[in-house]
Amino acid sequence: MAFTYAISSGDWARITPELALLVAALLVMLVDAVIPARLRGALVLIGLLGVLAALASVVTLYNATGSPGAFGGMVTSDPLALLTTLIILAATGLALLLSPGYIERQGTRQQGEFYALVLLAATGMVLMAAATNLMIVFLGLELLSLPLYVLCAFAPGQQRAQEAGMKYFLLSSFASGFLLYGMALVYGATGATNLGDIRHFVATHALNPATSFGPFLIGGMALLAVGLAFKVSAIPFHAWTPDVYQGAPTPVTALMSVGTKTAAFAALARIFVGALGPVMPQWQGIMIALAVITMLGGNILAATQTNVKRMLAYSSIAHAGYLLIGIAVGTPLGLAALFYYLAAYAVMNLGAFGVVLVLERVAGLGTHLDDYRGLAARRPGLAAVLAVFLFALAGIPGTAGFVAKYTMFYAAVVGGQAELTIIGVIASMIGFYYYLRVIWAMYFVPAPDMPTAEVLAAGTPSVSLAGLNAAVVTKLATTAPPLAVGAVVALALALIGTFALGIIPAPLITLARQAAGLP
Amino acid sequence: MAFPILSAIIFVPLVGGVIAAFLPRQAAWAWAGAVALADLVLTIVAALQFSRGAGGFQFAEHQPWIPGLGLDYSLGLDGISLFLVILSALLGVVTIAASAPQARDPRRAGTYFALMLLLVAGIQGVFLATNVFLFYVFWEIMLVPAYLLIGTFGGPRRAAAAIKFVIYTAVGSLLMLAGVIGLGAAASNSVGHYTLDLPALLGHVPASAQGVLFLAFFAAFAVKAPLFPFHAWLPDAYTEAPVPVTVLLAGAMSKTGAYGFIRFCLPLFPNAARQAAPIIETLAVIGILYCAVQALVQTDFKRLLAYSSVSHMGVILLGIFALNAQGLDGAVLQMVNHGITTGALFLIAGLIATRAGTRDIRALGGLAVRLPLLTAVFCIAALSSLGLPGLNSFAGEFLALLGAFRANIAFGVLGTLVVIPAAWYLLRFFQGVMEGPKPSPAPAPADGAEVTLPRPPVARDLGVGDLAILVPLLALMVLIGIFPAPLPDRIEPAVTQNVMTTLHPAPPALPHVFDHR
Repeated sequence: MAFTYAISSGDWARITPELALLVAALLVMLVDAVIPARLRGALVLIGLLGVLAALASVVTLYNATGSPGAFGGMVTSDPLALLTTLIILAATGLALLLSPGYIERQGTRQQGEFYALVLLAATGMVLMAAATNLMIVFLGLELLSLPLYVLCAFAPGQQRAQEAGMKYFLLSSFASGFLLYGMALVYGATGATNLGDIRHFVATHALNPATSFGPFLIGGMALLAVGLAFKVSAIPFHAWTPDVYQGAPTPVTALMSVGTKTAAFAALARIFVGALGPVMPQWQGIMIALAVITMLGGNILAATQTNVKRMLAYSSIAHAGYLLIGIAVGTPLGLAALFYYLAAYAVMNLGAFGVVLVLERVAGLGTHLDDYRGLAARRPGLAAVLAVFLFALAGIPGTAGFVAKYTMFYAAVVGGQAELTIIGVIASMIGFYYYLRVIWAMYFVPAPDMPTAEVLAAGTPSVSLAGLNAAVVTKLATTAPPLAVGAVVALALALIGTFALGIIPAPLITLARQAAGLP
Repeated sequence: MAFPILSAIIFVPLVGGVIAAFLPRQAAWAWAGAVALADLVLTIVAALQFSRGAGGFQFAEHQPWIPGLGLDYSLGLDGISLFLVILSALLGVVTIAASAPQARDPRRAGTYFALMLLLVAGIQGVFLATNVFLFYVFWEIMLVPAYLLIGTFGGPRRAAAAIKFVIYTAVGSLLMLAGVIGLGAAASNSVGHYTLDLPALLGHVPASAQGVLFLAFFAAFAVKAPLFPFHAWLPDAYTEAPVPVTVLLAGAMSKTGAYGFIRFCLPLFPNAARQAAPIIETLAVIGILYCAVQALVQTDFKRLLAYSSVSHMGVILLGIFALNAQGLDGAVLQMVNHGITTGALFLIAGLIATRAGTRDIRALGGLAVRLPLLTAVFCIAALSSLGLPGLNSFAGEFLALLGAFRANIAFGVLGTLVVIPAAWYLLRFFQGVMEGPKPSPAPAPADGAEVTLPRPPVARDLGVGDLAILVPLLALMVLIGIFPAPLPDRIEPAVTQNVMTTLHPAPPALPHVFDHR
């Protein structure tokens, strides 16, 4: 079979968000090489401009007419791709805004590389969300994973970050292998890598183990499920998440917890509910099981944590469980709920990580629950903002988290999976406990005395302070870090988003329904 | 479009609360007082324009909110909610006026008054929502300020009390969330589309789904009311919360649970309600007697009042689940009375505690000589709580128990027994504190350290400010006691139309207990 295909300018127009991010990444690297070191802080502006340009192109594409597909059905700019791109861009923008103050405090010199890698990872996420071919899904996945390997370890001299990078690299490459093998098997069974063609094949051929392609397809589906479940950190493929999220620089954690998840859920929706929708009975049970154990397990494990950053890592696992309901239900309504939930999760989770990041001191100190004691008295504004994000994550009405949870549970009941709603409700009860425990520490417990250098040295043996002057550590660890302008803007945006999505959810619900193919 | 007065009743304290958070302490107090007063004025305006013979929802507002999910912003006021809304606004004014100690806190006064106003807004929203989803939204919004108020401003064991409160209520309300979603789905076949508007749902919930849905809603309401044995959070929360917060919790918030039973559980799930009624009546009777006995053995008088409050709430629940018009009328009436009386009693307890420096009954005595005004006020409030004819609680408890007698004579008799321990523990409280000899100078109770307040004993009788707070409540006790008719006058038509019609498809004729025409 010979392929003849000519690329038109219309094709390029369909991937302008990816191009904008890519150009911004390259520009950051180029400018980084020529400007003096003291001006490198300004590089983040290039990155933000790239995100804004990508946002503008998403808006343009929403208004564009004609077929959304491009490059011969390799990628698309349909409402699903555009909405998930919006969410990823929001996450990237907020993560970039949060970064400068943080990496300055952590003493990182290579700012240029940091921003360039963040933008490249975002490009991969957007590409993965827009992919309509298994090959492009894999390409996007690798493009987002490779920069993240580096970013996870982007804290010189800190063992935890090195460990996070190594762990993520090893386990993620393993999962990529599963995914690729799954794709190969699906290709072998159906003769196509294009999602539309795969759907056509499975819809027109009866699937049973007796047919020659049956075992291949079932094996391929299982491997695809494993690979993507790893990326969304569903239990039992979650083991890397807490260590990586805790060890990685916090802006990277924030980006990963939202961006990677959004891209992977977009792929899950396209591959399973979309391409493999006709054989839903074959995979629905697995997705329901994943959703149930992820919801329950994530919440139970989060309730046992004493480090806030790690607790948020487990909380993000728990939320992956709620998100999986949307896939497990398998209806357009479930997908609409999934996309709404992703957007809500993006603002509230980035907000929560943003406050943790502002309070974090050098080498990951200041993220323990005890460090939050009396925060309401010391920094009332930050405490109140974090309280809002935690209430949102717990699902209190008036915030994005509640509408998200409601639409998801609603989709489960209407989709005939009422038991998922019951289990989700039970899991949310556990969630209440640990989110409110942080508020308990901030508001109800008086502030402890400032720790002395001895306490710091003796109390945190796991943190490597080698190479840092003890006096410097004490100073950094005991003085309240100042608020950077970017962080203030990011937190304000996340706060506005959290309330706006909770009080006037109608516009985004319309977009989410559109993305799911509903009128 | 007419002025949306019901929205104003909710959003004046809501927006006012948000603004209060950013004000310095004295300004915050004055602002919060003004906002609460404005809210009270709004409720009174609504009451004056309320047409008394009508049973349906008045001043109804309706706005689409979230498309595709049947979620609308719908408010309405009927005779059941009218007096509860006024009560909440009144208690909002009273508690904010009584918040002098909290207003002295230089850093946190703004937060405190913001949370108080948010709590009032949440309670008003619960009473006014006529869409089940909107009701749930306000129901949960109440939780946040209540949690923060107990945990931040309460007594020494406030953190534990706040956590206990939030766990109990969150479990209940999350079950209700599942129920809310399931309710729309269960009724959608019969209604024709997915909606959660209460009037549209009435009579459309299939009998097969009623049991499960009733239980889901029951969980939330039983915890909030509270119904024995779901009351364990309450003594701690009421005892540890600062006095104004306790007044608001006991006076207004506890009514939301009973209100939920009347507004949603009975009319939406009549079959299930009829089946569950004997069990709930049994629990209510057990709760009345158990909590009364608990109140008898308390040494901390704030805790005594907490148990007394639960015990009296049991009478209200007994009236509700009698499932007849008298019981329901009496229950609604008694909810208002209970709010006034319990609020006054907790305020008085706070006044005694600040003057005596302790809440331990054993360490007190002989205050009547030094504090005659306070003694007199306490005496009236205590008699009101006992249900003395001529004061407010008599009519309400009488009607509620009458309903219980009609439904089942055993429950009526058992429920009436509550009067005996109620008299006993309140007299014990009154005599122990006000009369008798002054205790020896060195009382050393074993657990006294926990209830001893830092303030030294000051023998100062009620000032003008204290009286200004208490006299309106006392006046209402007497007024409603002598002239109760305006209340059942407006409650009856609403109970008949909004509850009884679906509960008993052919409603029995109402005997006119109050000859007011």
